[in-house]
Parts: sequence; structure tokens; C-alpha cells
Amino acid sequence: MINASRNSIREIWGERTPYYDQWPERVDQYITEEPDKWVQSACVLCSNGCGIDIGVKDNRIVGVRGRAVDRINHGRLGPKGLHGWKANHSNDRLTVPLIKENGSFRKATWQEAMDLIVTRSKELIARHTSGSLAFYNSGQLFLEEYYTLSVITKAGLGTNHVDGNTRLCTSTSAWALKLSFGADGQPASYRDIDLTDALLLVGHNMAFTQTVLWSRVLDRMKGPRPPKLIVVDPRRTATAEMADVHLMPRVGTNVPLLNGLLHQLIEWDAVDHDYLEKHTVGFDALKSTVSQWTPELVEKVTGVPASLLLKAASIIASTPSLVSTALQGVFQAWQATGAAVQINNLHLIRGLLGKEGSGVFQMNGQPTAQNTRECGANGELPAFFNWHNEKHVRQLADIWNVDPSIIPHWGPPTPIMEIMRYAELGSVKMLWIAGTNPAVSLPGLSRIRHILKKNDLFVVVQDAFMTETAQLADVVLPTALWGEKTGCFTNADRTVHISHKAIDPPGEAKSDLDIFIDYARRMDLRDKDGQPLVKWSSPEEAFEGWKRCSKGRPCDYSGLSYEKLSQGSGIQWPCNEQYPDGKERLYTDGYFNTDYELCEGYTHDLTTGGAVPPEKYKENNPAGRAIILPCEYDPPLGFTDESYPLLLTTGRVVYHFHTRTKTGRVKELNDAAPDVFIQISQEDANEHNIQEGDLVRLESRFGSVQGPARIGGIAPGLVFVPFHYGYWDGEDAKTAANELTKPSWDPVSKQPHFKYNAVNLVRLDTKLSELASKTKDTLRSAVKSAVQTTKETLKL
Amino acid sequence: MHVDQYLSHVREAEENLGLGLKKIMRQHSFETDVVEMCERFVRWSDEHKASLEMFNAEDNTNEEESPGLFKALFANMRIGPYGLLRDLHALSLLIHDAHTSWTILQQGAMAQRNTRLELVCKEALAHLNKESMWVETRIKNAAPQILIVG
Repeated sequence: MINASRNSIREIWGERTPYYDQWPERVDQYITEEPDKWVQSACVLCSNGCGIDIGVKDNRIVGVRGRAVDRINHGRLGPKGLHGWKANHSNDRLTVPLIKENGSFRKATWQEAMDLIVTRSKELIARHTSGSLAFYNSGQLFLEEYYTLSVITKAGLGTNHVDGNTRLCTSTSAWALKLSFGADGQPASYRDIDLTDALLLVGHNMAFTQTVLWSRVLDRMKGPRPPKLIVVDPRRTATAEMADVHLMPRVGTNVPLLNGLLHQLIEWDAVDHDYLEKHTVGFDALKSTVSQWTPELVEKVTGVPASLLLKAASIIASTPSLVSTALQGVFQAWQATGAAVQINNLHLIRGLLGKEGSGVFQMNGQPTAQNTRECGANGELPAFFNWHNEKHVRQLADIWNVDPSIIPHWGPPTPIMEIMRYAELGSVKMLWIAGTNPAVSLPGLSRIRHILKKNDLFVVVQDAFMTETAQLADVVLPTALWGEKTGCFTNADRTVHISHKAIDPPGEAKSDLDIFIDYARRMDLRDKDGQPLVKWSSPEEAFEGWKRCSKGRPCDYSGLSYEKLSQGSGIQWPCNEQYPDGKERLYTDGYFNTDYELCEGYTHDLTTGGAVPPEKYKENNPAGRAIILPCEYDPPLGFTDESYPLLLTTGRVVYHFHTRTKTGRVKELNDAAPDVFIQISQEDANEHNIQEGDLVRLESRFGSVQGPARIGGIAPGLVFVPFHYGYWDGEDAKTAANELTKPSWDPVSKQPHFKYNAVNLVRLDTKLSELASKTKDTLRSAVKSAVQTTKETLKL
Repeated sequence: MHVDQYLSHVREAEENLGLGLKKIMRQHSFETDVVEMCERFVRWSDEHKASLEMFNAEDNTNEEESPGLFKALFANMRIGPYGLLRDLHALSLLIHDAHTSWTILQQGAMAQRNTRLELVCKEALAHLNKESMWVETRIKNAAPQILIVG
């Protein structure tokens, strides 16, 4: 029995419910059996954080429905939310710990596996210090898990080699917010989308990345007072199709385009001088930097016609309210942080921040990425404490009751690509990977595989599935998935949700929280008084610990509780005595977190990432005013040449999430997008005599990928490959986009340049490829048949 | 008037800096971020040298002095993490030398009321300030791991 309120595979965004101000409810549901009970949760398959109820029968998930009461989705769910839960019941879930011996995994007990990890940890610390240990986690764990990991690594072990895979998606978001406003945290609220007069989406294909949020925008566009929509994207995406103005800049030219918009606003004096005077510093430097970016120069450098730039500028100049968003088209592109900060600047010079219908979303990519950053699982100090500020370090040491010297504050946290380099050099000797799949998601995969296979690197992977990364591990720990554990997480507009445990995890799988707590106890990590460092054993106790840490900081959770979060909708932070129901939007009073004693970090140069010394920041203390940081255009370093003439950009398809560890195991989603494709322009297709569906190969200096060609919807000279596809499901052709990508990153946010790589396009002989495909099929069926025969023989 | 002489010193300093940057790019080719940043700085250095051409100063380069600083600082082949740290240390000295040379020239240009030269100096110094901040930041980031763990 399937009871579905709609076909979300075919109708991704569902029926329109036009509106202005109050978004109507529409409850989306998909169940395969009538549940015995519904359990409150939120969706973890994008950063939107839709409220969701999990339908349970006989300790199995049998479906989901959207929570009408929730402020994020008003009942709606997207295709991944409606179907993704089926991955929980995949028959290839990991159920017992595994230890690799002589190149093969054997089943192990938890005792054996944890003993091995703890023994190795202690040996390495004794011989090489805790600087030989590194931890790489995720944007999909729960807040309680991140915070516990943070306490263990910072106050127990004392290593700053901690990063989350948020480095790949929203590190730039965090940096842009920190540099402009003094601390991470999205200024805007989704409520602003209900009220705004204009939307500016920069490098953000919202229609695919947050389908429910896009439904909200589509409903606004069909309702009264529809907002104007400006989209900046080099591809003709589903989002761009709906735009009033679509700007298609050449890859690598976001900064000149945004400088052009800023210049035009200043030229027209569409500037809120009173706001600038009272609430910002740095306007004169911005004015000087952008003064050369006339529409004509912008057209020359970016390829965007001057007339279109002026059209977009006139909307921004005249709109009484504006919501802007940025995502990977900014964050993973050339001059990532520089461009993201210029979007903040557009709002600052127009004074369109902290007001109804106005604000910025330096968008998140993953469901719990905000918590990775808040809790310090990205390597920074938790609660936006500043590792460069000794008072902050002491304050944190007091909260944890440890000596301040144990807390890593001798340098910034080590980003994952640097951790990998240390591992390559033999300096990092143990790498613990939790809930992420770097063997598919990091740039330059052949090198990453080589590093993970090194004999002198001890690799621990905790995951629910035997991913490409888990296959390379020394120890694999089976974990519970969403729905099998309780915890909280925070979405892209600071809304905190609780996700209750609905069913038991399979076999001996444990929650990530239980694994971290077990490690802390076995390592005998203690505070100054000899008491256990990690003072909790349940998710709720961990949440209470986090509340103590975040109290008084910008991301204040002290007014929240499990009970409060279980009553209806998610609640935004800050939530405290002053804002018991959460605060809708930040910076309503024009006071920012930039004061020297409060801020999360000090300024960096946007071109080089060079850090401004604290004393210099203190001399020019912005003291609560937003910082307008200009960015000069830094032309992309010569990368394309005769051998590799095309530019590659990578991204998502709507039906998959990350490396498909969940979505690839759901038939409906996988059938909708079963394989990689290579999107090229009609012009490039003509030049290479390529037809739709022809098998083509992309080659870069780092590797190759092959797949069928998809023609159109993209600028000439640019190629797109979705990044989801790897090898766990037996694909033997090269399908992982990151075979092609260069290990290169933004100097400020250290986010890899997934959207700036050089490739060559080769058409493969169709007949040969058909032959190869047939041979592959024949071989596969022969292998399957042999396996079946062997199984039957063994049974006999 | 020694302004022309300092034009030569600035050229020498930029020449040395360019050589140091290129040597680091060769010796530490797996340090992707360092290589990219050095590539950017080489581009800036070339722009700085080109910007001096309009002043047509006679070349007073002291052949013995010219490569001296680069040779002294980069005499040995240094590889690996510790080598990287030492090379970045050496690079910081070359950047400092270029910065000081441009600063002296800028002061002269101001006193000479040579606004064109003053502007060129100002732009070069803006780049060198960035280079200086970057190299100090990169050294600070790398030092703890290299010195303590190796």
C-alpha cells in the first residue's frame, strides 16, 4: 500500500499555493503502510531543515509526512525528504565493527575495535603528541555529537586537526558572515522571503538544492506583490528559468560582476548614508575599489551585457526590501570569500539588513552544517569563541574546567586538504573520519585514495554504509542513522529542530554520540579536578552542556530545551531570557558582533588570506559596526590552455545528496538520476561533433571522467558534471567528478575550487562504447551467475 | 639625486623576490596553496617591474649585489616540511627587502613631487603589504606542526 499525497519525482515542487505574507500549509506525505505512531523529526537531506514526522510500525520506518506546524516548510517535503528514509532499511547497512587484517575486513566486537583505536591513539600521542591525530567529520551529525567531539579534541586531546566536510560546502559562508558582521550566523529569516520585494540569488540553484524553499519562492511569484528575481549563474538552471534578470558571468568573474553592481548603486547614490554612518566602517575604501567597474568594463571582463547589469542594478537600487542568497556558485568559485562578502556589502550600503523582508543568506549546503560550525567540529572554537583572543580561550577553559593551555590556540584549525597533506607527509598518523566520504568528495581523488591507503596512516571510519572511504579504513564502526537516534540540528535560518529516535539501529550499530563518549571514557580524558571531561551520557545531557557553552554568545541556545523543541515548530536562535521564543532576524538594531572583545575572528585580506594582526584590529575597533570589506578583482591564475581548453564546474542534481550513500539506495531517487552525465554547450557539441547521449570523456591534469553528453543550457567553454557519483555500487567506469578537480582552495575560507578546473573534451567512438557496454553487461551477468552458483554450492 | 639609483634597487629587490618565489614553486610543488600564491606574487612582481619602465632610469644595477640576497637566502636546496618553513622564512626577508626598497623610493618620489612615481610606489606597496601578511600567516600556521610533530 502506497499512500502518497503527490508524485514528487515528477512534480518536484508540487502544486502552487500562491501567497503574500502567510505561506499556506500543504502537507506532503508518503507512506508504504499505515504507521502505528508518528515521531517528530526534521529532514536531513538538504540545509532547509523541513519539519517532518516519521511514521513507524513494528520498529520500522514506513513513511513520512511534513509537519504543518513547522515554520520552515508548513507541511511540505521535497523528493529526497519523501523518499530518503528508505535508505535506513537498506540490506547493506553496517551492523558490526570491522577490523582490517591482511587487506581484508573481519568482524570484530566493539571492545576489540575500540581497544585498537584507543591503544593506537595513546601510542601516537606518547610518541608524536596529539598533533599526529586528526578528525574529519560531517555536516550531517547532530549538534550533541559535534559538541562532544569538540570537547574531546580541544579540551581532551588538544589537537587542532579537526575539520568538517562543511569545508567543502559552507566554509565560505561562515567566513563571509564572520568578516562582515563579526560572527557566523545568518542575519535573515525565511519569514523575509514571505515579505520581500526582490530576491538576488548568486550561484545558487535553489530549485535543486532546497526544493521546499524554492516552492516558497515560486508561491510568492505566483501570488500578489510578486518579488523581482535576479539570478547569477553561468548555467541556465531551473532557478534561472524563472528569473526576471539572469546574469551569466564567465566562470571566475563573480567579484567584478558584484563590484559592478556596487559601483552602479554608488553612482546612482542608491546608498543609505545614515545607515552607513551609524552602523558600518569601510565605505570609502569600497567606493574607491569599485569605482573603475563601469558597466562597460564589467561586460568586457565577465561577458554580462552592460544593459543586463544595469537592469539588475536598477532593481537592487530601487527595491524597498531585498533578500540575497549565495551558495556553491560563489563558495566553490574563484575569489569565493571576496565575492560572498560583496553580497553582504550590497545590503550594507543599501541599509537592507535586520528589517522585515530584507537580509542575507550565506546559504548552508548540509542539514547540520550550521552546528558543525557552531560547535567547533570545523576546528574553530565552539560558540563562536575566538581562538586568537586569550580571554575567550580562558572563558572556554573555565566552562570545561581545564587548563587553557590544552586548548589549541597556537594557530588556526587545520583544513582538511592540509590534514591530508600532513597525512601524505607522515606527520598526521591517525585520521578518524565520521559520517563523510572523502574518497569521492575531496578534490584530486587519485591522490586522496593514495593517502588513505598509506600503511603509516591509521584510518578509522564510522559510517552506516561501506562507502568508498570505509573500504580504505583500518577500522570501521557501524553507526545509527537519522531516525535511529535523538538529537538536534539547526538549519540555514538558525531554526533549531529536534529529531527524536523513531526506531532502533540495526545490529550493533551505535549513534556517533555513543561512540565519541565511549572513546572519551576509554581514553580516560579528565578535567582539572580529575573528573571525566565529557560529563554526559545522553543526548539531552549533551544538549544541556552545549547550552552552558553557548550562553551569552551570539548563538545562544540557553532558552531552549528538549521539551520546548518537542512542542511544535522548530525555534530560532538566539533563544534566551531576552528572546524566549527565539529571534527572527539578527542585527535589527544595527549593532553587529564586531567588537574586539566579542568577535569570532579578526580581519583577513581577501586576496591572500593574510591575517590582520589582532592589535591592528583593536586599533581600528569597529566596536559593533559592520565591516565593509572591498575586494579587488584578482584575475584567475592561468589554468586553461591548448591541452585543457574548457572550464569545468561541478554541482548537484535534484534527486541526490552528496555521494549518494543514502539517495543512491532509494529506488525512486536512483531511477530518476541513475548515472553521471556531462553537460556541454551546443557550440562545443558542434565543434566536437557530439550528439545528445553520445559517450564522452573529460580529461584534466588530474584524471578523467566519462559519461553521456547532455547538450545545452550552459555557456560555451563551460562543462558541468554532477559530483554525486562514485563507485560503491559497482560502477567501474570513472564517474566521480572529483577525479578531475584540482586540489586548490580559497585563501581565506580554504574551501576547494570545485567550480574552477580545466578540462579537455573527447568524444568516444559510439560503436566502441556500445560494444564496451555490452561486454560489461555480459561480464556482470557472468559474475552474478558465478556468485549465485557459488552460494548455492556452499549451502549444499 | 639618488632616486634613479633607488629605482635600480627596487628592480633588484623585485628580481630577487621573483627568483625566490619561483624557487619555492619548484621545490615545494605539492604545497598547492603556496604554489598558487607564489604564482600570484610572481605576476605582481612582473607588474611592478613593468610599471617602472616608464621612468626610463638608467640601469645602475650592481651585478655583484643584485643576486646576492637571493643567493644568500636560497643557497641550499630545501625540501620537505622543514625546508618549506625555512624557505618561507627566507621569502619573508625578500618581501621585507622589496617593501623597504619601495618605501624609500616612495619617500623620494614624494619629495620630488613625482606623482606618477608616487602612485606606482603606492600600488606596489599595497601588494607587498598583502604578501607580507600572507607569508607571516602561512609561517605561523605551519610552524607548530613542523616543529613539534615533524
